[in-house]
Amino acid sequence: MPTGAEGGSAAAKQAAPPRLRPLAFVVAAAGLVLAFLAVAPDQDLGWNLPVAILGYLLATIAILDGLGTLDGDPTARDGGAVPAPDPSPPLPDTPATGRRDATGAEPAVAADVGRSAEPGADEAPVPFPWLRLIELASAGAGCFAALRLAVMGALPWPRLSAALLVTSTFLWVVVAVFRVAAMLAPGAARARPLLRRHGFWLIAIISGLYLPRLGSFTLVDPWETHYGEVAREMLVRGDWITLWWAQDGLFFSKPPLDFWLQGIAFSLLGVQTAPDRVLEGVARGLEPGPEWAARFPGFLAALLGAYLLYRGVASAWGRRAGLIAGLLLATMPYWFFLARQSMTDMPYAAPLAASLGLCLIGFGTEPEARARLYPIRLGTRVITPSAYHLFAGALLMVVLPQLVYLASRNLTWLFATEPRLFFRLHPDAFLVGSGGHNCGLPGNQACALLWPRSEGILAQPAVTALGFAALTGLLLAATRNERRRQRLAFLGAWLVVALSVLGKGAPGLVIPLFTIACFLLASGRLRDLDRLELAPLVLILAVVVLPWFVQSYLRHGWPFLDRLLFHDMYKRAFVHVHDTNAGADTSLRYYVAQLGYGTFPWSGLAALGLVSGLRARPADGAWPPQAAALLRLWFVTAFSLFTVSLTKFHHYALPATPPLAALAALVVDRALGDGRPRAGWRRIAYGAAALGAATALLGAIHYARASRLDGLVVEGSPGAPCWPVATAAFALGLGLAFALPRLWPRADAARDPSEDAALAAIALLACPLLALVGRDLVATIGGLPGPTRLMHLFIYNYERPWPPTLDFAPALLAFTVVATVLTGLLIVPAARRHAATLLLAVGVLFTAWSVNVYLVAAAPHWGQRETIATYYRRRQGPEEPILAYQLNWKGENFYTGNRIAVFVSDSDAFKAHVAALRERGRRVIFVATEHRRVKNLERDLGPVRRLERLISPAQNNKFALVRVEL
Amino acid sequence: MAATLLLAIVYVAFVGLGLADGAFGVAWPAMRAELGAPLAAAGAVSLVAGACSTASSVASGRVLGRLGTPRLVVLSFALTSLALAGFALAPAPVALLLLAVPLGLGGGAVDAGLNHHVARFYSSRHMNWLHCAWGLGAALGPLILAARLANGGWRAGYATLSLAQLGVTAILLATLRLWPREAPPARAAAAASQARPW
Repeated sequence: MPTGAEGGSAAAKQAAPPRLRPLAFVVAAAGLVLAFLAVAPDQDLGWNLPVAILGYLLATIAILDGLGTLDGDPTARDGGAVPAPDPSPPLPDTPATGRRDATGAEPAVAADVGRSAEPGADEAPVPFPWLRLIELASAGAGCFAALRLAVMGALPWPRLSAALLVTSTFLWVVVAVFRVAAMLAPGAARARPLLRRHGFWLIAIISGLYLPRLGSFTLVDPWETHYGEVAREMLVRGDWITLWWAQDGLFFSKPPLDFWLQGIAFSLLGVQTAPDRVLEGVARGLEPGPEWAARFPGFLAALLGAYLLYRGVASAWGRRAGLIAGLLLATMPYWFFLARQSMTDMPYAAPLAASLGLCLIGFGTEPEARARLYPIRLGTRVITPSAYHLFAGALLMVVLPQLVYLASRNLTWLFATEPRLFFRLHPDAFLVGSGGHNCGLPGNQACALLWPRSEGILAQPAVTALGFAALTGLLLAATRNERRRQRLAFLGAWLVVALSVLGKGAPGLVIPLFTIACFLLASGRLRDLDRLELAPLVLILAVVVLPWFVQSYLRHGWPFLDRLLFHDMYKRAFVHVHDTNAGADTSLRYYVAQLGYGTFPWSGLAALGLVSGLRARPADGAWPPQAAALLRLWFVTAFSLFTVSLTKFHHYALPATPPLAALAALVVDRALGDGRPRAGWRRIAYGAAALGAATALLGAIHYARASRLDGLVVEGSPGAPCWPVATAAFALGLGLAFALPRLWPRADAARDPSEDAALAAIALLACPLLALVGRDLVATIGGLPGPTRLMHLFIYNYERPWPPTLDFAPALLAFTVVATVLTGLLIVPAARRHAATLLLAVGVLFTAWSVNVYLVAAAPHWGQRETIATYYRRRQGPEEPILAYQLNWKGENFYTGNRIAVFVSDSDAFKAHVAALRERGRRVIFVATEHRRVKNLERDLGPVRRLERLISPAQNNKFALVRVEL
Repeated sequence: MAATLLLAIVYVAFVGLGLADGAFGVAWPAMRAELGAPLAAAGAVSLVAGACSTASSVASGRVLGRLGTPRLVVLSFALTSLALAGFALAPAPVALLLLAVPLGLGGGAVDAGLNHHVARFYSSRHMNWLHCAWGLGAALGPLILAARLANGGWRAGYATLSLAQLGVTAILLATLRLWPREAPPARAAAAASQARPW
């Protein structure tokens, strides 16, 4: 059944409907029953989530088979499962030519998701890749075990071993996925083996940069710990619809995707979520790492977003440009810092980046080009998975868990209550108050079981699930014949847009739709409106986004909508609500400045890439210039939306970075020129020399200012300059830099003079821009130390003082000077490609330094992990409780599993609680507070035997822990 | 040079082979207390591991013929490393029983594979010393576990053993090319010709 107003091609219209397979639907039902049995128990049995995932997977595959979608191309059905030949040329390493076909559409240079069309690609069915799948399962098991061990903190040398194990096993998974794909498309794998795949290198570089210390530093207050605590309560309360946490009570401010992702990760990776258990392992010599679980989903989202942006840019400008776009995005502070923050922002910005990539593919693909099929022999059958199955499988894996969970809200399998192992049919109800038998602590809402505001049979979750199941069936029926690459790219884009909406709400929908509408109008491509799959877009949004919204509304009524839609979306946009910019200039320049810091060291090239009309190489009117226009429109939409919004936080501009990265990548790609170093050792040597030269030059400038690389200030200084080392490093760096032209000699004699001039002009203007941004990051301006500005990209309170024990100005000066000089060298044609390579190396080194040195050193001052861990190390047992005094951050809740009495401002309540503890014979208590409030604490405690500060300002300049002997 | 390096690696592998063998008995009292298993369950786990070890030893001839010694040894070490990681993460006694399968299969195969290789390419003197290395591993395993029991618990102990096995796997993987394929290295062949049964 074709979709869209156009109705699809003639072939699609004449296609016979695929044969349904009733037996597969029986298997699907079994999978759903299995999943239901895993989510229906009234207590966590440890195996619930893995078994449920297995059930969803089984049901997904069986539903796709039951619909007959695995039986070949439905538009070429002739009784057999013979796949249609792939008509498209390969995705180019070098830029596209920009030809138009007879229909006026753009050339078919785009790749669909999962396509690896290569000349000579095998068309014959291949055997089912059992061995490769076993290898993939082993790799997955290895990665899973590594993550669980990291979360448990049981490894010796926990940070180092977790870094090595998690990164290496994750890369093993990536390699294993490729080897499965290589079995399915042996021709493509032969044509371009793994190590020649740009996408692999992008994933490897991002994983190598982001993963090693992902979970080895504290969650940063307040966002990470806030959302982590909501996810933790979600698990212990056993309620994935109504979100609750101690300091707010019912939590309606954000849609649930981030909490669901964190909840899944917490559950699968074995985070001890029960009260008093999160960090309790430190008392037994372990180093629990719940941060690994909290941040891993954000890392995956960031990786997927960067990868699909690579695919999109590659489809228009070639693989190298795509790789550079992904690399630039991954090395921008906005992206890499927020990829390491378990906030709601990456789960909504990464799908937006992915949708941008998929839109680039969709608009750049010839409308009737068909997706490649991968025929696989399975017993007597030949099955033909394709990009459609990636889309439909992902859709079902997102929708089915929601529907099964809704159904389980009316039918509970009794494990914790009598009669055990029986099922109980009941109306929907939900718990408020802290889960895990944690009721009654001061600072917590009293526990209660409440009934939904909307009663009646139609408001029951199981009934709404039936409605959404019907819509899902309609969507699948409407799209099951779709094998056109363009349509599949758009369907994929809408799926990730829906996820983005589920991540943070309206901006996830407004940015892509407004941009695309403007693009169609501006480019005169209104005919593409028919091909955009708008009807499926509505259905996808309905089945992916609405189940949670509808059920939450039925449970909580108007206050839910009022808070989420009006207070946290409408009012944040049009009324000044809840930010920390008092006295700051929140006009146009607000996000101009933040984007400067958030895209360093690409700030200059990103700004110039945005305004320049470079890349006119293909013929006018061809797809690449239009794609550049789409990127610009995307940026302008995102930037305008957040600038117009009256409520501003620095990290809000994150969705504007993917198009900036892509546009800057086009400049860098052209600066690199045509060709590449000759094969073999020269390529490796060229890369190594560039990385070595960049490292040495950075080291030279750093050592000319300070000797300590870790940024620590000891005795008031980050170390005296070390001139011998600086001189030697400078000489080494220059030597290596001058070796670069020998390894990659200039070959593109026929350069375009106009392009030369354009690149020179861009470099000339980008250079001072970058220097200005760098100056802000290095110098103290208006009392604000420069290095603080990077931290401000993702934190809440911009008034927090920078720790005097840290000084990163020398390192940031080194990055600024080297990046500025290299940007300036882009003016010189003879040095351009090597300067561009060195800039890429500087970007990679800047990212490595930022996430492994800067963030790891600074984060402990913005988080409470060490404070609470010290409590568990020092306490004799639960009889020595911890209290929070005049503390309203969130780490105290998360890291104690909310087993903490919180007194934000009520001194009398605090005194009464301490008196009650005394009466109960408690001799020792611990108090978490801020350093500046310890005096108040002493006053409110009255006379005590002993008061001991356990955390010094050098360890944490904000949060303190006090041990009190009553 | 390559033969000597390979011999050193085989020594390391034998130490690694012994690591897990004596650890279970040390860990079991703490394990059964946490997992709520009866004392006798240790016998079942050992039995399953032993049976699987025997089975893989019996099948080792065919597997060696298909995979060759180096690949069999690498795969087996990876399997035992994963199984030990599984022990560290085991949520229930039944998981130990299941994990005893790959542990036994891996242990048996690597035992047969390494012994086959040493018997073919090295003298019986080395065989003696190599078994001494196994004994060293078998003594170190309980020591490591005991140390981690006091600081982190039995799960941390098994995680440490798993990491050690993984280290051996990485060394073996990195040196796969050193392993002789058809003919033995000249020095090893000469030594093999002088070998006498004892």
